[in-house]
Amino acid sequence: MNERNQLLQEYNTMKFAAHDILLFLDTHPFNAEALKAFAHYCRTAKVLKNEYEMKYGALTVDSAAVGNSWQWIDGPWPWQYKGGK
Amino acid sequence: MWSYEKQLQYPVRIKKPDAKAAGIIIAQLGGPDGELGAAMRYLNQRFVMPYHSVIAALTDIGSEELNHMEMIGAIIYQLTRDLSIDEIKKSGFDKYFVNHTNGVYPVDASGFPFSAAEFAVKGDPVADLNEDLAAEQKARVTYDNILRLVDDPDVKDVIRFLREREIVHYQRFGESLQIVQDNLDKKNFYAFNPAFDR
Repeated sequence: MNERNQLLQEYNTMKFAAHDILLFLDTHPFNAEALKAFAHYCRTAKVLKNEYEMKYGALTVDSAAVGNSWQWIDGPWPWQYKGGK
Repeated sequence: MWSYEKQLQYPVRIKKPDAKAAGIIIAQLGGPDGELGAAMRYLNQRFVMPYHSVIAALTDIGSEELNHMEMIGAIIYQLTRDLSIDEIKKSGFDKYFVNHTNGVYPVDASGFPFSAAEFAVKGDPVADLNEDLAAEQKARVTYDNILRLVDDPDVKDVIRFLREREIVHYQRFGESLQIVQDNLDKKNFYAFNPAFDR
């Protein structure tokens, strides 16, 4: 896996952990351990998202107007895996 | 409101095209227990749901199903690009190809187009959550069946992830049903419909 995909995967893993705990919190809103873990994974994900976007371009539209070009239209889009070639 | 993030919830990296597998896996896009139906079911059930916790679960699980719809689309796309006409004819994908080329269109494995009749909104929290519990189990079984029919480890890895999510959602919907019942008449859960009778 190249460095770009590696970093994306690290971010994705943290974001997914936060999402899975989010579902748990919806039905266990007072669980202190889950609240702490959710905050932790969100913080970690945010740092990794910033790092990825600085190096490789926007993941969300609010980070896309950097410098003098509109990064949002830059590929690859998430389904455009080229590894088979 | 939703905002888009330019990545899949779990990466889809398929190296080998396989039209036959695509024709099977498309069941989870446009079939009765597919991800499109799941997203629409939960997101539409939310409006009359009287309990905040359950509205949150329907919102967050319904939104996750949109991610899964995108992942199934990515699988179909990667399995059907770079196919020769010969492979399309031999695999049986020709029946889909004639109408949609290799565009991604929601049909079930027999080619029947997605129908809104396949997801239910009853407007009663007990009935709707039981629908959702069954829907997650039916999707889990469909993924189990796909795992029996498909060999490529790149595909199986993603299908296993999606299958696992059905089990997690089933658990959360079970807790949601418990929350609903805790708010109802303990002697008769069906004494009134909390989404309608005030």
